[in-house]
Amino acid sequence: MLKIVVACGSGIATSETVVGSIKTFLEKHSVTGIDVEATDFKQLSSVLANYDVYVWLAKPTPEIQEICEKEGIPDVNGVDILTGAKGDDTYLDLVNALMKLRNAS
Amino acid sequence: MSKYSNLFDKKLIFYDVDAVDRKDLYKKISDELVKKGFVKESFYQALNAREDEFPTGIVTKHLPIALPHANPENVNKPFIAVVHTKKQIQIQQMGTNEEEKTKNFFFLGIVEETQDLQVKLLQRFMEIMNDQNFVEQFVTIKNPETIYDFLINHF
Repeated sequence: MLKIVVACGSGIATSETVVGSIKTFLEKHSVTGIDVEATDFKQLSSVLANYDVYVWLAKPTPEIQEICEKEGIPDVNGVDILTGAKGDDTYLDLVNALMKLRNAS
Repeated sequence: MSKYSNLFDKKLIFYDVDAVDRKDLYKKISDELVKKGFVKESFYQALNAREDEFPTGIVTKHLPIALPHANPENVNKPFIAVVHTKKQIQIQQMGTNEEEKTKNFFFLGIVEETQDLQVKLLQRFMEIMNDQNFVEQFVTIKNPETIYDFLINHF
């Protein structure tokens, strides 16, 4: 089971919205076995290591970047997913991150 | 009309708001929201603290916007306030903290009980912002009543 975490400032609005968008995207492409959760930025540093992919809606701090590097957690721009403005390429970063993990495992 | 439409409120459409900067705008809107019973007095502080730490500006495909919001404990009842300012207001973008100028603000009042519905509304909202027709029409409407009708017809 792969786990994706989406983090925004409060964990209630935009991160939940992006969680919904990712879930819809995964379902549409019949991808199973991936958990998607939202969290707020304050909790993020203590829970990040439990996840495989980090989707950011708030600028990652040096502390967060360090955890990502140490744990090998790819980070994905969640604002693109929120806006969907990139059309077909909206989920490209996320898919690449998931592919990277699959190839590594 | 859908289940989302009742989150919009005729009284919460503000057109041509005269504000010198972000804080001035947030104060004016917060005062209105307090007066109408939607938020607590703490909303203004919370809104600014949130914006300073985690900006809510978003450059969508056809329109730069902002989605100011604060934690549920500052909100009495759910709402979405649609605000157009007379002048461009400088804010920062979500995720990158880069500068952005916009006249279009959608203040979100989120409470835990209706969070699921509001999240779906936000999803629908972001989707519709990619619709060039919708955005082009939206920016030409100058009357709050018409803005309200236009929005509920699209949600």
